Amino acid sequence: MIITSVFKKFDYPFLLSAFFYRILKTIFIKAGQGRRVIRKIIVQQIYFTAVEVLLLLGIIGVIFGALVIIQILAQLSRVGISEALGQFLVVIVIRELGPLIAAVIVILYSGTAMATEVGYMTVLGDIRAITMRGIDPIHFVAVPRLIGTTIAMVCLLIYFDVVALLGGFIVSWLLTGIPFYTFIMGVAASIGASDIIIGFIKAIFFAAIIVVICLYRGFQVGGEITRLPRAISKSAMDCFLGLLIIDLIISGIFYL
Amino acid sequence: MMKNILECRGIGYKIGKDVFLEDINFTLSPGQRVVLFSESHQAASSLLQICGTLIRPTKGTLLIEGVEVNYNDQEESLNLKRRLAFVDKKSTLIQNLSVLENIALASIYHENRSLEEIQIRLDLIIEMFSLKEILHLRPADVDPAGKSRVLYAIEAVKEPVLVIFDRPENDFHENDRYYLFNILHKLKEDRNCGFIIYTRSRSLIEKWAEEIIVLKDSLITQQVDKDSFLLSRKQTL
Repeated sequence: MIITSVFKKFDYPFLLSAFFYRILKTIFIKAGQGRRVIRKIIVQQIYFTAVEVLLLLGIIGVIFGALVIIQILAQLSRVGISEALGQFLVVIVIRELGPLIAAVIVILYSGTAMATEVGYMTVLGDIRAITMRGIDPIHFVAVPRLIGTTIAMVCLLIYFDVVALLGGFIVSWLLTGIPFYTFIMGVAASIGASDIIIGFIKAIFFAAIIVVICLYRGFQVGGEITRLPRAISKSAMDCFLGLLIIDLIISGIFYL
Repeated sequence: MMKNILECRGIGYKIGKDVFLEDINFTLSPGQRVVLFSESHQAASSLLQICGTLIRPTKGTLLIEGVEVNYNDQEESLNLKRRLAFVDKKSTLIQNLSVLENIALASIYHENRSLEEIQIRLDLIIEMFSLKEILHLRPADVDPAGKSRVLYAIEAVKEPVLVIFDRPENDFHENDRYYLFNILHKLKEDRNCGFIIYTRSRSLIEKWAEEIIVLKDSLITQQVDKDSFLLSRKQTL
């Protein structure tokens, strides 16, 4: 009894993996099925996850880039190597915090909405209605959200990196008068193809973990609406923890 | 020989110690119209859900078009549901789709067609259920009577072999009952479906049923023709 309950506490990652495997399997098995409908939901998901948060993410990106530069300048002015601003910005923003902050925005804006939507769908009988039409809910609900969010996440990451660098440049220029050319050359010299590829890898894994956790929690609501608020808050917390773990693993693999 | 559309062999269903169905045996051939009559809603509803492959019986086997239902094969189970017209009290519309999208979804998904390509087929159904005014509304903006018409319209668009309705008389006001008969006649003429309808409506039994299955205390106690049933229930129905 005790052993069973202990195992039950640790079966969550396995359940998530099984759910993720089922979504991936469905993508391949049902490729082409219901193409028009699925494509429409993917586009809606991209619009909701990426387009609707552009302004917000832009403001956050500029502020974040500026904050990073202020901190770097405060430290570097003591040793007089402000030419290395771009390099530090690349390390902090593009390699590490950029993907993480973009992912947190996706959790807050899109992930929790996804868990809520799917939770309501199970409570209100939408999932049953989908099944009664002979449609697999995993294909109709989960697959387009996974594909849409992954595409949106990669786009948001690129966008966030660009606006954060822009914010960083504006503050650098205001405080040190550094020309745009010098700043951008510093960035270009520091950034490698591997940084961009690793950023994309992170974005893909982050999107996958966010979608899998939020959908899993949403589907778990079942027929009880009282489970919904807990499912939403749990999905947000789990996603954040999942992001940090994946970030740690990817950074450990590629940068150590 | 024509295959039976549905065959229940020794079906039993229980949850914990509560037994809802015991040793249910009956067959349904194409075009056959059976009405289920039961004092216990739970028993009738369980039998309908088993026939609709929504729940798995705890005992016995179910055959649809001569093939035993394999509950472990999800794909097969979904394909079966496409061939069933099923409406019960839990049936709902998909909330984030419009009425038109709700009606067209199955066709668009399974046939990979656009809305325009299936318009002719839809127009007939839209006309039949007077849905023109509410086509572009979301389910939340449609009144309960309209929702019922949409639910039955969705089933009419399908190409079912078996029709299962749970107390449809409750879904239509007395004056709107003709919508129900329209769909029943359409499915009968177009597809020669088998029908299982759980009802307590005398008028529905009079106008539609051929045979009555009476469920009592989880068992089939009677399987009679319509006239004998109505005669025996003259006072109680």
